Amino acid sequence: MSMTREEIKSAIDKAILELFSVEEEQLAESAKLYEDLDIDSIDTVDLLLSLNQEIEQELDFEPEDFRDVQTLGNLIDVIERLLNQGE
Amino acid sequence: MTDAPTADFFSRRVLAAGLSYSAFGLFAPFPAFASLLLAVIPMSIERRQTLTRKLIQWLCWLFVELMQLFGLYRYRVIHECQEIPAGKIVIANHPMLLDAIFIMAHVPNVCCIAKPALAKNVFTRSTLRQAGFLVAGQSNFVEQVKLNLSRGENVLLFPEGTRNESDLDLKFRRGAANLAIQSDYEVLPIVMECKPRALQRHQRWYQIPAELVQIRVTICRSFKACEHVDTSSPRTLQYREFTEFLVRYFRTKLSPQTMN
Repeated sequence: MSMTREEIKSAIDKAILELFSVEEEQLAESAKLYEDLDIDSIDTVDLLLSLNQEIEQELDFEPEDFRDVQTLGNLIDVIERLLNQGE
Repeated sequence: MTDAPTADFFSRRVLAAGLSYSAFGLFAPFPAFASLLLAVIPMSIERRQTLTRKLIQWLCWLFVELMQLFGLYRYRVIHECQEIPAGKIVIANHPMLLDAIFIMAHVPNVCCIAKPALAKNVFTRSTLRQAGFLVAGQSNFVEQVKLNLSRGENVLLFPEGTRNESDLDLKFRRGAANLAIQSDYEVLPIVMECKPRALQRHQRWYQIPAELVQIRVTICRSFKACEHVDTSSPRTLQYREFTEFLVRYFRTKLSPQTMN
């Protein structure tokens, strides 16, 4: 299933707002997941599970896929790549 | 917070500190030698692990008693509950260097979480392996902790990650809350108090307070995380809520009104 970058960001934003105590204004692509949004590695697992439900698709990923993810923008890049790989 | 006045370098208390560190250096290789001996005696892995942990507990007890005998401090252990802990997530604050030693001396069957460097160190790795200690960052960490808890082991965690600078300025990370909520095993809080503060991160070994250090180890009643969070909320919010609860819990226990 193909999604635009904006659609992916919208799904991630929705999941983050449901799961974490963050404000919508904080969700810029430059926001750092840990330093700005207080989302650690264990939170990322829950975020991805929630995202699977949000996009109604099982993302096929390995932990190494997220090794270099620092910002929200990096996360969107990885999700976009994983979705394109699945096609 | 300013440090308490320190004892003169040639005072009895500094001598006591020197003797204590020397004793530690003398006793430290003992578990490794014992591990080598246990490794060649035919027995099950579980039996070997039990013996190794009992040896470590006994050595820790001996060490804390020896330091008290040398006059470095006076300590007491308070049990808020008479139940012998088994299968608990042991959570403690971390004001001084010897916190883990005191806890291992007085809580049976403790499973520590070792730093990866210790798991690779040639002097410590065999003891850690035989004791069945976990390594921080190992794969399937949460599943392994659940397995250890199900066997009745007490898994020790310091949510601060390192020694703190102040009793009431507690910065707990969420790892302990993650485990407590994901595993649903009871948390056993242990409150460590040290007055005046000693053996802190920024202090050298001879910077011992001039006043006799009083150490109190309070082994509190255990409880489940689900009793203190909104279990209908997402797990991620429960981790945060329980971490905040733990900070408030320890602050209440450590506040001057509670300590006296």
